[in-house]
Amino acid sequence: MAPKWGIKFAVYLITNHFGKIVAKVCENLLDHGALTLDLVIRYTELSPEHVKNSLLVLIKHNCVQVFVAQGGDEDGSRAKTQYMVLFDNILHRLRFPKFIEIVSGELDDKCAKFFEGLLRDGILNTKQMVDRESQGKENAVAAAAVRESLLKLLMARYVERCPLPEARIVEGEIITKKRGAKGAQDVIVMEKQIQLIQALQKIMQKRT
Amino acid sequence: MAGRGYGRGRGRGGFQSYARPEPFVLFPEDINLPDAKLGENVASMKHLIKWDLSFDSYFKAAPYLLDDTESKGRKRMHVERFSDKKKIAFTRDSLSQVLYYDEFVKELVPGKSKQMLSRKKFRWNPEADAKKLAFFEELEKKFLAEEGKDKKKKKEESEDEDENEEGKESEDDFNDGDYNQNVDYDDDDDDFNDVEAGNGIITLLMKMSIKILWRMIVCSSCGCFHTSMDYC
Repeated sequence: MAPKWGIKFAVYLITNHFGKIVAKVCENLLDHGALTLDLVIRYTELSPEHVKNSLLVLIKHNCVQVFVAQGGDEDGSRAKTQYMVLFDNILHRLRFPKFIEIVSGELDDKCAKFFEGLLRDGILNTKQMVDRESQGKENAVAAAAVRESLLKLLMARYVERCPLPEARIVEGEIITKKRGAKGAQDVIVMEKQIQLIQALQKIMQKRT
Repeated sequence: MAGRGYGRGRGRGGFQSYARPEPFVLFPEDINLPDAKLGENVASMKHLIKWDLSFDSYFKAAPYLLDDTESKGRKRMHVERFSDKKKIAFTRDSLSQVLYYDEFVKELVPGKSKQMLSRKKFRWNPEADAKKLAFFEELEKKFLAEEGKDKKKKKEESEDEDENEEGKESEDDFNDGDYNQNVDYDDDDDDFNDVEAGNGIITLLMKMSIKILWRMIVCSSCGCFHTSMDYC
């Protein structure tokens, strides 16, 4: 549980980046802990659309973790999806310039540029990264080039692949939701999605 | 007396005086702060500040910053002036342009909800009805067979009776209809509420409304609710 002033600071950071509506959702999640969508709507007294959008933004920027609590029916029809705010990741937003500085120092400028893109837009897949890079250029950037610099970032563990959208918690372990044999293939084929948690932690360790 | 006593107390305890309140100075001038030691880090600090500013400016214009568009709309209710035209230059991208919805939970994705059942569950299953129909047909046949037996028995009995009581042709012949039997016949009389007892009009109205409701239910059951077949 985050301290009172910590919550205030986190809410201030979120207000600066995403506005008051998202900050209100974030504040309620920080105050009450993990909540379902219905409860978030009830506590914030915002319209469902606003709450959904702000949760999408928070998930996109890795400030909220989604998980399905144990219980409900066998087919998972009654299992409630819960949203848990990641307090540390919100505070890391203040250190973004420092992270870029470290990455640009260790790796080349291309990697730093990709890294900056990930910090700005949160979760991205390779297609989105290629599109991002080709913006404002006459010729589209080759996917292979993007993959190459992405691989460097992955090897240095500054970025990592996203887990599946809904993690299922079973007896304290976090297991990604099973989707059958076809689903497993999809996961393998699925394009690389990148996340920042591990990278940020590693950078912090190096600095301290 | 009182004054003397006060004096003694003072003598024992010693002379106590409160500290004079000094005016609080917000920015005292006599404090010398050390100079900021930037030294070698000046360049990196400049870079950091530059990145920080670029992040701030990006997030201000990014589609992730959610505005309350309704409140803005209300503000613009007044008659539009020429000077207002300049203000509406910046339009933010919508979230749907940026987000890739496969990455997110289904209940958050607009247009999809987790509670929505698949169409397969609502599909009409004719086999289930055929079984039920066969079952009811069997029941009907059984019932008819039993009725036939009963009638035969009754005929035999009635023939015996006719032989014994030929002369007794009475009003019992009228007992065929439900009307005379007064069983399961609704003669629009309320059995529980007395019409003449004062609530007559209300009870009549109630009855009318119930009848109308009943008709509505019957009508609605004819056409609309095919999907409930599966749940029978």
